[in-house]
Amino acid sequence: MINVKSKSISIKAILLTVLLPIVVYAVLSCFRPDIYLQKSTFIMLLTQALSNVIIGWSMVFGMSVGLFDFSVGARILLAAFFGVHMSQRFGIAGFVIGCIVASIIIAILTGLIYASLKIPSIITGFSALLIFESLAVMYQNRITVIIGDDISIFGTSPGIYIVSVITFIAVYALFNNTKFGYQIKAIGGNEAVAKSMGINSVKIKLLTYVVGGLILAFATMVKVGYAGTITARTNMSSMSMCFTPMMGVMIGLYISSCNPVIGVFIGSFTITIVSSGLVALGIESRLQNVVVGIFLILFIGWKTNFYRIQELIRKRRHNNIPLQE
Amino acid sequence: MSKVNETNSAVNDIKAERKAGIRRLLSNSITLLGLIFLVVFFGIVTKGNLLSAKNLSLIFKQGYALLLVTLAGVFVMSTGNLDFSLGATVGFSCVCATLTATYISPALSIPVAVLVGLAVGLINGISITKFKLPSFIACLCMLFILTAATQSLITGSSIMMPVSMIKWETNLLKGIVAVIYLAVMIVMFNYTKVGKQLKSLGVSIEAARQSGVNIDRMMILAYVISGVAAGIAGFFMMLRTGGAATTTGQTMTTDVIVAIVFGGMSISGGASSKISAAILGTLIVTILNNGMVLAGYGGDAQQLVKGILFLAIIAVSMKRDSNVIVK
Amino acid sequence: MKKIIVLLLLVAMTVSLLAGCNNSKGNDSQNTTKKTDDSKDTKDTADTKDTSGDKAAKGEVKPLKYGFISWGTADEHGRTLNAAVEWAVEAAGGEFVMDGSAISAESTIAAAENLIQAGCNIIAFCTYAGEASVPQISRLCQENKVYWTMWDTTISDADIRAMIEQDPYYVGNTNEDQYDAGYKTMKAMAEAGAKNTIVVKYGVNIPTCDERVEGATAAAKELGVNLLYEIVAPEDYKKAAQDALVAYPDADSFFLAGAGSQSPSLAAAMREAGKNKFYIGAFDYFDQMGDELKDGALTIINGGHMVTGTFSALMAINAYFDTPLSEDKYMVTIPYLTLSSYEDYEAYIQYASQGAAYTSEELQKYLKVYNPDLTLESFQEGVSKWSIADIKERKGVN
Repeated sequence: MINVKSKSISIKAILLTVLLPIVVYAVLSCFRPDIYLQKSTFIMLLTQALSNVIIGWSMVFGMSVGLFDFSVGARILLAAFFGVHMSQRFGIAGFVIGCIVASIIIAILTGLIYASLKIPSIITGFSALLIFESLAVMYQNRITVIIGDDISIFGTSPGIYIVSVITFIAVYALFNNTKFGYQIKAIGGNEAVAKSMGINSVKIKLLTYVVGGLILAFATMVKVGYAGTITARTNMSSMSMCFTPMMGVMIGLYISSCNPVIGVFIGSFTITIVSSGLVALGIESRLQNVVVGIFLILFIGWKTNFYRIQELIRKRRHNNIPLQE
Repeated sequence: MSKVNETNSAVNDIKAERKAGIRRLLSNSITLLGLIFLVVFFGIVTKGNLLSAKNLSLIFKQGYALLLVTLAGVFVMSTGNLDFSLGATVGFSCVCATLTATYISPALSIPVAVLVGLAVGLINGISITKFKLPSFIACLCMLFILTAATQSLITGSSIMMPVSMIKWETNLLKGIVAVIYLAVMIVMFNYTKVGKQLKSLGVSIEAARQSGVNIDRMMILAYVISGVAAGIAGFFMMLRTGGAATTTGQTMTTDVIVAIVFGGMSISGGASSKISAAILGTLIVTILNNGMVLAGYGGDAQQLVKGILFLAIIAVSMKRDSNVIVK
Repeated sequence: MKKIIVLLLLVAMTVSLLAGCNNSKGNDSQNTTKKTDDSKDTKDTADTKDTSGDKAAKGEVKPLKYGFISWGTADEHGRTLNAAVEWAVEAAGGEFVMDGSAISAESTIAAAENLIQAGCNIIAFCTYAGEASVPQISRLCQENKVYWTMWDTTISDADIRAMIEQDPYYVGNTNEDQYDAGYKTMKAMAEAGAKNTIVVKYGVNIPTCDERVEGATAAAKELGVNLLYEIVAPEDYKKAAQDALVAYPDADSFFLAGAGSQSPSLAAAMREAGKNKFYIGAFDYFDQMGDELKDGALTIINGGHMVTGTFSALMAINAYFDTPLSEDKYMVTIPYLTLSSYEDYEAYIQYASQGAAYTSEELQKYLKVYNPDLTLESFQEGVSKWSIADIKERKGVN
């Protein structure tokens, strides 16, 4: 009996989790069945979502403990240029090791700034953004940016799926099955209580930067491999690189029926479907962000006001109050 | 002997207290010291060019719109929130003001700009309070909407204001508006219930609620103030740039955050919020931008230097209490 | 104690004022970070020329500080533009100062103000952030008696044009014929086999971008190419390209109206959509374009127009040296270096991209103080020669 009930609960949880992207996909399929009922479209959307998913995974550790970091884009750029530079000398191994080493060092630096100076993460993020963006420009101007064909394996099938699966396993395990993961959740729940329980919140937060940096290295490899190019940015414009992943994380954190790690995937995938669908529906480029924004508002608004809406409906039913015209 | 020990101990206590007092004072004044350092540094490097009457007038002009918006930004930040749609609101208000001035009447451009800003602030405030949206999401979406609206309203690269309005941009008008605006903001933030209640929201929403603060009304008010300020800034931006472009106000949001932080105010708001942070921070940002070009550092290193200075100033000026949880 | 600090501030301000009381405008060319003037010998030559008593050589070489306003050096065009302007300024024996933070109308005006206050005698800017700020800058330059010029710009507003025509300090502008370049690029794509094209713009309402697209649209209409969709300022070029290809599966080409460095992303999108034959026409060079041309992923690319900065500088320097090329305002059209094969790319790399494409001596021929026979027509003729063949000829390569 208990097994059946827990089985039905978990099936319900799974269904609720995937409901959002399924509904969105279904709606688009009604409008453009010629596109959305094709397997290749689904695979394309999945591939598109993955670089933002991995970035989202790198942010989920930090966001779970309340850290907001807008320097993610600048960190990706700087690590990418270093990786590309190393690839020109040492091939694909140089690219991989270069991205990982650069990303971790940059993350450690960012984390140390936060932890040692005890300044809010958003400020740390801004200063890191200014500094790393400039360094990325300077680095780009001193090397020849040529991305070899071998690097594209990270952005195409099957390489992108292999990297994503490995990253998912690592992130899921870290987040759910390690002391580190529990400590993150404790801090995210109530930091004061966590501290009084003996958790060194500063050390854990620093570790979220380091772990996030490692995951971001994989995101960098995927991004460079996927796009086949990388260009520096200035005047804080790299901040926009983290908006889409952040939106995915936010949606993911609001999906209560599943683990945040899975939620991030669902959130990013949904955003990808929505934005692609707008092109399929012929909506002008400049309005696409608006529609994505409105979608986000509707979803999060629905989620945060769900109980109020339920209460309202219950009250109306109970009182038999007719709906006003 | 014990009396001597007591005396020595008292002397040591006094010395320790003096040291702590000096440290506290330095910590409180570090932003001002940072500003002094910048002035001295660029003053020497530019051989006094920074402090020439002409350049001071330039600093006033360049920092004007930022000051207007930053002062209002303090109201929102004191509640522990950020308004990411500020820049887009400035841009959109600028466009509306320009269109009004061109097609209806120049005199109506300022009330239109203010009303547009007010409407945006009201929508932001209602989204956050009544619909319980996270402020980041609500403001980000507003940014997207306003950016699209601005791009739709501007058909070419920019639209020009009527030539007759060029003479409106005078230091006298700006000075008068600035003085009145500053007075209103300082009085409102420091001496009225509004400022005190907004600060209490930054400390603890629950405690504020228990104290009888109408949370929703105060939050909406903060965003409305921010929106109105953005509207006024949009109008003056129109006068300064001669019209409106799709890029107007693009960097305003980050400039405001940077200015407030430079000014020594905590981003989490609360009791330590101070309106002087807006003034000092705006001065620091504007002098930094101005001084770097005067000194010839306008190339690749410009942003790097800004970033390092940003870090240095906040590292020294930001108050850190080991008991406070930093997020 | 706070009063003491305020007093300290006052003292510091006073000290700084006194420190600079001899130099209110900051015209001293030694007090700023600068590229050192390497052309002292050419300056000597010029002085010699000036004292030669030649009646045609009006004007004189004067200390010059050139202020350059741009969006920075994050992209290839920004980076090469910077370098290209420095060639001209060095040839004139001047000092180059830049402000690379001008990404909006207000920051362009602030940059102009700051550069003028820094003592610049000439400023140059582009109207990528909107042309409504041009009258403000014009007024600023008139008040401060600073010459100014625009690069990569054509003013579309008739009122603004009329206003700046009256400005004695406005020299003129340089621009590429964006419409013509867009037209020719689309034509080349059509001739190569393109039938259904997706247009990609790198920004919203940017005149340079829009004019290129206008030219491309005209060519597409004439040659029967269908323009299926327009992507505008995407955050992720590959994603946007893939989405467009899914929505418009007949698409076989992209017209990339700028930000050429994104063409590998578009090519990758094409390949993943299963298209073996596709065509991409782009603007703005990038490091990887050789490989893309070799692979056939890139059909044609226009770039090498960094000399727009060089020649607008020379125009303004002529005016500043009291040897204007014309009493009227004038526009000089800069040709693109168009590459449509790997051989073109190799020639470009070998002759045009290593070091300066012009030597100081070659550029001094465009300054009337060094070349008294220079006229507006010969200036324009020289500019119109800008090409790989011209570079090879000047470097003595067959």
